[in-house]
Amino acid sequence: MIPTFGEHYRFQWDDLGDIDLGRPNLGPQLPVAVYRLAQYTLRETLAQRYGDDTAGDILRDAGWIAGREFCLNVLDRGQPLNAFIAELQNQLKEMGIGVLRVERADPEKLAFTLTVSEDLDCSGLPVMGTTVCDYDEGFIAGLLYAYTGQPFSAKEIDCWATGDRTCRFDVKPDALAA
Amino acid sequence: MNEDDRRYLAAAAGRIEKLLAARGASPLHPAGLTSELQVFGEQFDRLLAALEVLRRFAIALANGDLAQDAPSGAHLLDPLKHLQSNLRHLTWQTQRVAAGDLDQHVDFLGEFSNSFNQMIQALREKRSAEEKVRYLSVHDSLTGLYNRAYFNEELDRLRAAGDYPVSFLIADLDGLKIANDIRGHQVGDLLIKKAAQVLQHGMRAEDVVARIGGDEFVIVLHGADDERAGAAIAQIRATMDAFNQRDVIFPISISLGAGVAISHHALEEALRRADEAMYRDKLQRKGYARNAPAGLGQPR
Repeated sequence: MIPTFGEHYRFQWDDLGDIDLGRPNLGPQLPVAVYRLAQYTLRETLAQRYGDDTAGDILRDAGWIAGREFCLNVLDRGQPLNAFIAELQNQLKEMGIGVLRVERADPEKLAFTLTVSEDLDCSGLPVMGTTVCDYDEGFIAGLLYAYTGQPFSAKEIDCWATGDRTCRFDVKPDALAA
Repeated sequence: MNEDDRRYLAAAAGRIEKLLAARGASPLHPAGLTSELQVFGEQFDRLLAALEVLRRFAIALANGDLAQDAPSGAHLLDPLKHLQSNLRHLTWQTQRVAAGDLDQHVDFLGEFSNSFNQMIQALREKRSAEEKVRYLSVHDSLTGLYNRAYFNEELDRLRAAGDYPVSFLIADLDGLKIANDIRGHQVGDLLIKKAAQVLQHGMRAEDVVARIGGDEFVIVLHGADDERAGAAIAQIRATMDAFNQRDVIFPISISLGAGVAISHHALEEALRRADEAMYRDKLQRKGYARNAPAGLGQPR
């Protein structure tokens, strides 16, 4: 997937501001509940205004920007795939986003089954019968787009919200997914 | 309770016996039971179906079959599904280790994690020791240059396949014996190290610089013809002059000669020509350096 606006968006990494300067006492961390409060109230508002599907699409597009910018600004894109995955695992863990694991990998086709345990977005959520990690889907797709230059599809197949204890994503280039 | 109810309860007890014996127990599809028992029977069938899925999944897992995907929504399977996910990731990690990636770390399988990580640490130490042994076996401990063994390996590689023409530069540190005798071996070693630095300076990553004897060195210039070999000699002499201007107490003098091979048949001949050229160079400079051995006087 690539959002309809592609790489032409206004957000820049600098828009996150100087957190050390701005929060000398409170610091850069905050409870997960605060993040989820923002995420799920935003989702609800989008769903009220545009419907569930469009709300999911908007969050996926936002995740795509986040994943691309995360890759461009945090990760070393010049390293081989396995080293890149290792750095990604470390960064996601250090930043408290989740514990990324690779269940299956086809380095030739760039097709993966990834799991994210203790996921920031959904771990511990009540069972709702449907996957909710649209933002994560976009994040993974945007991240791999920045690394490979190819559009990727990331489809969540298991989620805390469907009763599973880990999020599982089927990830492959759009060309393979088609 | 009617006759159907009694028959159903007997069948249900039989199913429970099967489950306790870890055998398959198919649903009973109850019908015509009294209303309360009918509701119970339908729920019991759901449980039987879920337990059957669980039994099959557990057997596959116990047999090491990680390829089976569990049906979604079967939440009774969740702990086993989690275990399967961990084992799949561990399989991937093990494949990475087998491919030489020793940065893998397991932190999700209790005591097994510690054992796996200890194994990786042991492999890291073994690799490090092997790399050290390998390094020592092909390097000269004094200069850090490649040694004669490595040079011989390089010749074998050139015989098998090389980027021809290949040029050899033979270099000999002048007056080392006299320096050793008069100033001692520490000064001699210092001169050898300086010569190594001079010879390495400006060489390409693919060039091989080796110390093949006490005062003798060889440089392999891949893909280099006469002209390139001559330029390399000129560069070494310029570097040597610059080094000697900076260090007037222990200047060095290096005799140099080059030989070019255009195919693997001409390798020995090129080495012989390089050696002869080096001796001619040494003889030419000998009068100049007769009374001024390396490290003790003007080198050139």
